[in-house]
Amino acid sequence: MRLPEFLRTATFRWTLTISAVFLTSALILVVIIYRESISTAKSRIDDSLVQEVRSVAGGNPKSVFAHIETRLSEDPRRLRLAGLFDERQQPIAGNMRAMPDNFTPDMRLWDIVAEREDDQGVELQSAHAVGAVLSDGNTYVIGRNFGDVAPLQDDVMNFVGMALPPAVVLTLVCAVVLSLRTQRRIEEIHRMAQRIMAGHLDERLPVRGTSDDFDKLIGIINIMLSQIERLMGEVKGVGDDIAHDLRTPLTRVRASLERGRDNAASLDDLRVAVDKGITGIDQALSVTTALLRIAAIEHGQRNSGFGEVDLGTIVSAVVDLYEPAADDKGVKLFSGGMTQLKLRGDGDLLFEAISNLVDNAIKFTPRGGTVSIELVRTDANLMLRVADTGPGIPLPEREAVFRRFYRTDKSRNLSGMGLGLSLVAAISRLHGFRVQIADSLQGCTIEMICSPTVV
Amino acid sequence: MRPIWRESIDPNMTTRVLVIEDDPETAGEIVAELTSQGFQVDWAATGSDGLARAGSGGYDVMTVDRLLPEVDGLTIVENIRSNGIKTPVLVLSALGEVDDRVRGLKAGGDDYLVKPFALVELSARLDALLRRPADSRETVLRVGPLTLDLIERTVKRGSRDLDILPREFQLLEYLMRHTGQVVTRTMLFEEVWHYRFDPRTNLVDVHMGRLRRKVDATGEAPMIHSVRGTGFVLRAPS
Repeated sequence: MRLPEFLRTATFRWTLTISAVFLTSALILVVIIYRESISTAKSRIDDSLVQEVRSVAGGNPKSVFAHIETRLSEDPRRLRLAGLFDERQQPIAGNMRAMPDNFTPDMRLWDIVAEREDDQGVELQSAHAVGAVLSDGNTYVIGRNFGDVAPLQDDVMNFVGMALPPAVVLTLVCAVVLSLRTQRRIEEIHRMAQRIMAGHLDERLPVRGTSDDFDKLIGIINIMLSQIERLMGEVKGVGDDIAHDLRTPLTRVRASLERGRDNAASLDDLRVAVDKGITGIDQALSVTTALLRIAAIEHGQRNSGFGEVDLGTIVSAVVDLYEPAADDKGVKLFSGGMTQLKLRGDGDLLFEAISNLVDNAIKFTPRGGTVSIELVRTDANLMLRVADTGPGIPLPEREAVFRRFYRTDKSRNLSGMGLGLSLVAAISRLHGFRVQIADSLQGCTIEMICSPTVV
Repeated sequence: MRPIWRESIDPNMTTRVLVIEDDPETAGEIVAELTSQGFQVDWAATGSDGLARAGSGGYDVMTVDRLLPEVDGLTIVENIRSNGIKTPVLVLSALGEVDDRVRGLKAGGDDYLVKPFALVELSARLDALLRRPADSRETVLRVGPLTLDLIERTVKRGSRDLDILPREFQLLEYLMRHTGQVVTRTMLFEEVWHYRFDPRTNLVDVHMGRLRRKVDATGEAPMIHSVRGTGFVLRAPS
């Protein structure tokens, strides 16, 4: 059988558990108090027994009869024992028919079983007793039966029995009420979570404003939701950008092939159209290749291609490679600074990173501008610095340009992928370098700080 | 139409190529392309089949896919190399991981190509593997009227001295060592700059354009030809 929902909540169980612990400790307390008070009462009685026997033993033997008289006269519950015995242990006075067994009149307490005889008959009673031999040779014994304690015990048990059921009921009611509250809260959260899962990522879980445990937990979850929403937005953005970057060349391919099929008058015309198509497809492929490469470099942390490389050599090879292209565009490309900087790294990847930087710089620099690439040593760092006289990157966008597919709006109409800088960032990370966009009065300056791994 | 880069090979001498590739479509494309180039092509679809055939020898060149069922591509290469078979191997890979090429070449591959590739690139590279120039001690290279002096670092076309930059000299040297063969942009880039990556923009074309203007002056019969937008071939003017 399945219990109703509210009986299965943690709150319900917690309330029950705590109540059970509380009730048990209350019971233990009652028992302790009861036992302590009984034993205190007993020991007080015991003390007074000893006191009385001492005072009688120290006084006139004749006063014993008066003592017996007073002791036994006020005893409606038949608890008191007293007996005077002669030297042959025969009773002289009192309500004890015989000297008890296992008893010595040494003014100390003894547990005895006594035969009590009074006007109501003869009865065996267990009792604490104290005795002393008086100066006239007789033995005086007094005792106290604890028969009155048992009813007290029953009373206590009765009180507990009366108090327990209401306490249990109160506990159950509390548990149910608290549990229902918790359950309502959980249902609220559940409903909202369903909505969020259904795609309403902008929704947040409800907060009561009471700063209770639930509110704290919900606060944490809401922060998490905001983060997820932001990441989803970024992924969507990247997805859109990939789609855009693939769509553009593919659209051109389609158009070119269609025109070729419909309009080509000769085989050569068709070849031209197909060549354009292949170029477009190569562009689309290079987007996916670059993405895969970035992923491989970022996640692989591979450095098996590492060896001692000279950044100076790489820089001059890059300059050599780009010089004619820059020249054709009317951009002056020059290198400067140190001519040698040996470090541990992957030469191919570093070449790729640096050529990406130079490629970008040339692309964004208008005719008549300059692109410089320098290996410089500042106070703290060794770095590669690529500077251009292009439009630069606005301050708020300087972090973003290293993300995949990010392009400043100005570059949207320029060909090329937004992947270059994120590839540079990935390669730099692999080498333990840091890439940053430096402040510059004019154009864009990108610094690749290489210090940590310089040989 | 006879592809231009095969013209200097004796048509009676069939060249045998072994293609070890598990994807039937890719294999089909490669086989069709190479057959149309006049190669005699055998296809092995699994690693163990490929290893058996490669081990039997008798091939002039082979392409080996990196990831194969049963026996891995690199294992095949290592295996045949340790058996003393020196058939040139072009390793093909869809992985394109950073250190993949290093491992491919370490295992004994002679060249390495990442999928997807242009079929022209594949046949040009196979051609280059087939006709690796013997390490010649020549100090002067000659193709038609073109003379390149490796000691003096000078180039002449006929009696005309060419004012040539160091990088252009290296490009021309490579072209002259591979006269009549298609060399692709990436091959030129790797040979001359010694770095391995795919320059996305046509940077090599710009260099080749400059070289070409120097080699083929106006009025002269052209010697440097473009091939299908992917490469170049140097031929003596007919």
